[in-house]
Amino acid sequence: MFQGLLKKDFLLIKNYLVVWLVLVLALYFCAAAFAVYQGEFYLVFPFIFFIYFFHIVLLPIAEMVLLKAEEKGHYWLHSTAGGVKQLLSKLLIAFFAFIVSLILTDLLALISLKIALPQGFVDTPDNRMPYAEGILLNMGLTGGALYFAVWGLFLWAVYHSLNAYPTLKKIRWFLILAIYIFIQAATAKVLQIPLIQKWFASWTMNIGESETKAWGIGGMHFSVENGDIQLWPIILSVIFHMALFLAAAWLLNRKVEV
Amino acid sequence: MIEMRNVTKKYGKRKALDSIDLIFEKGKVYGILGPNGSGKSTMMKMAAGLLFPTKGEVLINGQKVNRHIAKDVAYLASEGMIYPGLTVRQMIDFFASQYPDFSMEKAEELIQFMNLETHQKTAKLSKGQQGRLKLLLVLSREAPVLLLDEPFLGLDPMVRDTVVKGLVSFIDFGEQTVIITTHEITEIEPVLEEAVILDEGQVRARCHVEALREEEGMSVLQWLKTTYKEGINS
Repeated sequence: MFQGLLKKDFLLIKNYLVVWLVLVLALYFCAAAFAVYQGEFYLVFPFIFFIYFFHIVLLPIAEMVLLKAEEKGHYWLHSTAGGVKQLLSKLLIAFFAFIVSLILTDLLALISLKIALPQGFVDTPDNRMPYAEGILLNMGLTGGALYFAVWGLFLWAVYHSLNAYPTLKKIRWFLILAIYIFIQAATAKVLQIPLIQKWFASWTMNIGESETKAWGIGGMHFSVENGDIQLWPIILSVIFHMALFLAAAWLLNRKVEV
Repeated sequence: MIEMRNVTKKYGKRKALDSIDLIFEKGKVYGILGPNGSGKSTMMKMAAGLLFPTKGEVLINGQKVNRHIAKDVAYLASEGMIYPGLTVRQMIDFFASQYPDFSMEKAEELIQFMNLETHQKTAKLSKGQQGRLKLLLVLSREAPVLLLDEPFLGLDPMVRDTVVKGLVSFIDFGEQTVIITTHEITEIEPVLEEAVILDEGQVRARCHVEALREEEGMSVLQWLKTTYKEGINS
């Protein structure tokens, strides 16, 4: 049954994926032609970074395309598969599209670096290929994209659950925004509590970075201090987003009506 | 058997269904008749587990209806249901993968009967072909309950005739409980055993089609018109 859902969702997005990949290639070749014409090949990299960073929204967009395909009549809810399977299928297929696109972008970045490095258009330490940085970039983009994808699923389910209340229909978008802002603000507040900060600092792993860095999305923050990365925030973030996904599935089963 | 016990469905202050008490017995074919907005589709969606009652409960074979009821209920929706990007074959394969009671053998027979080409994209099908495909997908299931919501919607008389013949040929009479909502009463009358008139979310009248014909010499359409006339006069 789950295989059938995956196959259907793949067929629903296949054409969009092909068009997107062709667009990526077209943008790259235009950028490369422009850079070669200017005699400054490094000019291709802003375009590559634009394509890279677009991936953060590519996954939620792919997911929304799949959800939109179900909105006419919502027949998908008349299914032997529950909400978890239905939404997981959408998430996995959207993730597949995201990964295919990310791999293509990686290939284009590698080709560009292979050309740019020997010609001195780009400086890297010891003139080496920045593989480690590339992996980190891929991981960061994947994390960010998954964050927005899971939130997208949850907020989509809340939005459609509100269908049953005609009086709320006109303010649904406002409610969705309010829920997102409230949860983010509450998370940020909780993270400021000294006891929580102490607890987070109690379990770290050394990843060899000597500098202190911090990054995050919304209310979530992760930090590396003197090469130590805090593990609790990562684990809690994963658990929180899994709970968000399950909440979306529960809403789909119990509250979303046609 | 389908039981609706004191079922009410409210959207804000508006009642789409109002205290409905109905029993649909196993193996019978029922017609739900009524004007637009009378609550026919709401009732079907509720039996299909797509809508939840505000009050009361819907039971199918003693089991309270929820989303999992799809395993026992084959539902033909008046809108949606088929994905425009998929071919006829892909739609059939998808249904076969989702419903364990889907009979590929029956589907192959229905492809011939409905005169459909399996390689065609559903978006390229005419309205009549789409209607036939929907019926194929539902009739290929060997589910105890069939719910057909407006199976004739937007279909020309020739296609409607094919649909009725399809129903006669592929419904398992005596085993499957079938509920059909429609405005095309004349076409569907030969298939019906009982008819229910729904109006403003309430059951206005109910009849046995054969008894109506034999005892009162009336067709279902005449009975519907008479019932409405009486309703207006009273």
